[in-house]
Amino acid sequence: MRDLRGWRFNDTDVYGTFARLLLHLRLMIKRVALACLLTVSCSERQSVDYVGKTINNVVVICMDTVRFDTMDAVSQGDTYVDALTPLMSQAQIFTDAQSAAPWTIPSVASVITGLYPTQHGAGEFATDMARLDTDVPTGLDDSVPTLAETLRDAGFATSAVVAHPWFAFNFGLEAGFVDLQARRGREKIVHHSLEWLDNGRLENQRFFQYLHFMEVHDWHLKPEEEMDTILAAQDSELMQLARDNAPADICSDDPLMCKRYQTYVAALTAVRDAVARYLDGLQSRGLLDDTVVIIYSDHGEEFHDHLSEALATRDDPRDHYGFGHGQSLYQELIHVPLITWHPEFLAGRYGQHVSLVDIVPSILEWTRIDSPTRDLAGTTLTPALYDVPAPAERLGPFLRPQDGGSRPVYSSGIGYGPEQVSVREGNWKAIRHLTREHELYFDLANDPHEKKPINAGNREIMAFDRMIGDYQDLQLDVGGAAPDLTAEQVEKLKAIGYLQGAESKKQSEKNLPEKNTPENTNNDQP
Amino acid sequence: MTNHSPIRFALFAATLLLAGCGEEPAPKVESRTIIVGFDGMDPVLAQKFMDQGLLPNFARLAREGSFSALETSNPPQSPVSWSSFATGADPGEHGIYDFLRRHADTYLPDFSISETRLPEDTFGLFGYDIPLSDAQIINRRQGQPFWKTVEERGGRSTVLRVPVTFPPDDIHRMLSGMGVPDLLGTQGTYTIYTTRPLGGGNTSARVVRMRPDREGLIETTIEGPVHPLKPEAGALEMPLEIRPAETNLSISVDGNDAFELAPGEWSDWVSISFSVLGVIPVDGVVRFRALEGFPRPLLYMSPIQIDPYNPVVPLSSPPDYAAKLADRHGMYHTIGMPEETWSLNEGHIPDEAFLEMEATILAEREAMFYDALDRQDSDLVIGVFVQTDRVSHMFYRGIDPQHPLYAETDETARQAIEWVYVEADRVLGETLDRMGPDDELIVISDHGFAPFRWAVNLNRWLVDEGYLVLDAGSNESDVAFASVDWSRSKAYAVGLNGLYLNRAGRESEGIVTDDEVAQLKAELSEKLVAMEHQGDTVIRRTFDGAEVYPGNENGDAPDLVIGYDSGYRASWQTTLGAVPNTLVDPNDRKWSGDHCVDPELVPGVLFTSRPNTGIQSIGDIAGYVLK
Repeated sequence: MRDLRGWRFNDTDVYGTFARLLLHLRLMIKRVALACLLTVSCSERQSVDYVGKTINNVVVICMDTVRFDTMDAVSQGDTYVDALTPLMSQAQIFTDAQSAAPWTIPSVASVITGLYPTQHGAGEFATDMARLDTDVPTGLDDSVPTLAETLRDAGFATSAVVAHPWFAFNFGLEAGFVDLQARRGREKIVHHSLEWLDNGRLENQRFFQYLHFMEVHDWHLKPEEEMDTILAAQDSELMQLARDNAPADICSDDPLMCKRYQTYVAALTAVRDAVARYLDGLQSRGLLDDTVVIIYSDHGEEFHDHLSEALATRDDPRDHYGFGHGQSLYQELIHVPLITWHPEFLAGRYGQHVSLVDIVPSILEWTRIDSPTRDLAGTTLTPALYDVPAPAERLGPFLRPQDGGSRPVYSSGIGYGPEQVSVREGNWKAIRHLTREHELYFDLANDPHEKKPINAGNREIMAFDRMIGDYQDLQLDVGGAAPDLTAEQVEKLKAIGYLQGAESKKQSEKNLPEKNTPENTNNDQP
Repeated sequence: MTNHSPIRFALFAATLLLAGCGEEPAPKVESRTIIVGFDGMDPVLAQKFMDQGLLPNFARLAREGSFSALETSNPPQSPVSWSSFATGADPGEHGIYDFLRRHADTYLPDFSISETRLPEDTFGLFGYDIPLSDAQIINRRQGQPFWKTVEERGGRSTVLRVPVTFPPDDIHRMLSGMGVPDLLGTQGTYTIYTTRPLGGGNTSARVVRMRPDREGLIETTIEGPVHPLKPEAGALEMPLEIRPAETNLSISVDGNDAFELAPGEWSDWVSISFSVLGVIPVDGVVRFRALEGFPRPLLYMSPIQIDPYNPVVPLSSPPDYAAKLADRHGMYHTIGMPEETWSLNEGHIPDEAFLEMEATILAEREAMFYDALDRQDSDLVIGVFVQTDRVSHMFYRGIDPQHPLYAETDETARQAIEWVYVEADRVLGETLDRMGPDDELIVISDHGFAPFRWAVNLNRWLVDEGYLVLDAGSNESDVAFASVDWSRSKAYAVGLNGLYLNRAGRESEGIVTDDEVAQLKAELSEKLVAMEHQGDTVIRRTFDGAEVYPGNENGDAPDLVIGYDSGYRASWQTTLGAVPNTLVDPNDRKWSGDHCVDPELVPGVLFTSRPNTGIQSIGDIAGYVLK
């Protein structure tokens, strides 16, 4: 017996009652359905609409591997943003933006789809243990629409000028870019981007341009003598600033790691100057006033911030700990810069808790393009820019509006080790290790460096379980597959530290991997 | 064949209740044949425990009557063996060859014991499908059970919980056993309510995620059967509310008074009544067990048992007997296989929860059985207790030092099989106490037991040897042969012991012609018995279906029957037509003992109060009783 469908209703009286009931029910259903439709359309409207003029053009710039705290620290005095270009002093700086993943593929996929990693499916591994150093991760499935595809279909000219090899290897990040240029080095990126604006599109055609810089990802992995050359050319005040603001105690304990961090800061200023030149180029072409510029980083970088924790758990399959990215969901890897600029918005620092998945819904709203998907994970940044609290229905279960409640913001997509999920609501953050069924809770207001896990009470445990469960339930079966890489592509990925192969030598935690990158990191030297 | 309709039964039951009709007291029977079945009781274990003095009643019966091994059916599976018991016939005649059969037209596995034939004609009305005829539930076992013959000869039979007796036969008294579905129509779908996604990947359980609010209040639902008149509308639902009472769970079903459940505690029976359009009740009963308390409540809900007071399908003969049993002895498990082996196997409930439940079910069955004996109104009384089988399946790991889980079993798990044999001895004692001088007692089991250490992916072997061909690009296949290229496949395995050839004219995409059959069978048999794993034989013997199943009335008989050697069994994936990557997997599940091996390895037991019965095999009993 498979179900109970075979029932017979042959009693006349019962049958008559049925018929009336059915008719009644039908009418009721119609009314309820109508009411639902109205409710849904109401609740889907944002509480604060973007009322400014339609923005014509979109520029998204990724500075790979930039931590928010580093960018903020080196902005002291001569602020980083001011240095971008005088106009950018009118930018909107989001001081609490979170990337959806701690490494490039899932994070950038979230930026360009407006979906969380669990929804877009890019950057997953065949086994439970993520091993970015040996395994090829999944790409973005064709069925998931990207921002570039949506804007292209709406008539935009689309261009990507990118240094990151993932874009060139069929991981789906390139989808929708009619013009895709893989360029090594920040100067080439700036040059070819501006050249495309001049020659690559129809006159007055709306455009979407995506730039991706890799210097901050690469320079501090260079051999020591190359780092010395870079550092010799740096402003000594900046280098002292870097020492003073270095994470953990690396500048007193670990000279090589300190040098890496100083080189990291040097790369950040180099990219900043390149971005400034690009923005000057936009302005001199008269395009800037009609363009929204979004600058972000896809993830941060760890410099021994959680070395002791990593050594305690031994989760990192690379067998080196406390360095790099992809290995955890602590703030140094997911608290990233997010800067928007457009004359319509007020300049300032915005402390609302936002996510990089908010970029797509924001751009679609500001350019007044309909979203092809109804289920975007993000929410437009417009309310934040008008300094309006998030609507109540978006709040998490933990904090009420009067508690300063905010919506839950998630990250996942570990690149090295067993999968984790983190959720932020208000000042609270939980990191769950899915395989160990273990979680850590932090109060970021009192413990911004996540060094003192706190004991959560029943209420917090229930609330975070619910939020993390909601996140896991978002999972879509989009069926992204790992692309087949050519031998040449594999070599290129190996060259920048990915896909080292099974023979990958084990590194002690102090003796960092030698990522000799002769071919690809010869970005224009400073 | 039995027609059923909930309304008809509701009306019928109501009429009986209103009339308040009592039973005519039947005349007392002084010379009865009493048959007690202890499913899966193993002669070697029985002898061992008797030697240890643990089974005084069995020892006495052996001493005063007889004790021997009892030849089981081929394959030695409960539905097959109990069907031979009922009919005195071999599988070739009674038509039950395995727990599972396959549809030759679709290759899909299906349950062997019963099936529902849905009405062909319906008419649509306001979006509902109104059936024009009744559905029919069919017991697929062919042939006449001997308890009916007893009645035809003027006697009376009481048959309690014998496997493969659903729907119930129209006899003096019957309560159906294995084959009775739950309210969802399945053989037992339990539900886990959890606040966190469960690890461990695929599970046969229904997992419902709960979302507590700030105060811990959880509003969720119990999902019932599919809407009978509007299948596309989905399942009937009922509200379930859970809130914290310290760490206890305070549970309220359908807005009724809440009850509290402490972690590690079973609830009493809880009635749930789904309503079709507010007028047709669809009634079930469930038990809950709180596995964990707040802040991470984890709640187990048993399969929804059909309520014996208002059964949607017949459970008993006469139809109100099921309700009367509940009146006299309290609510009880009605589903054919209530033992929650699968939830234990998947780690959803702990060992203690399972053993507590076994004790509960045993007590229910005992009360019914003693009641039937005390009435002294039947010439033939049969009661089957399956707890011996279930506990042996789940706790063989406690007596088999070679089992992968042996090292981690605790004292309770190591004592479990002994416990259930001692319980069986107690039941036997109670039975002996209720016998008159002219009553005859036969105690049997349908098969014995063997260790289950290794799971054999037989379909993998067929793929590796080129007899089963996967779709281009596939290295494995999901259940139901999802990725099989039938146009190039010669053989496939379904069920616990069955191997079929893909025969032209029989299977929908068959390619093996009649003149190839004999050669192919011989070739397969030769290779199968030569299969080795870590130096051990995997398959002891194979049997040619054409020889062991003369008749094969319904075409379900396998072409080859696989007689695994001790320690080996078909993997769960094999039974459902899946092709995993590996050939032999260590069995790291709690389901650690089994009997789906060469029948010579797992005979049952036969104890008789009278010596020299001449009974050799389980199929001889019907003839002996009717002689």
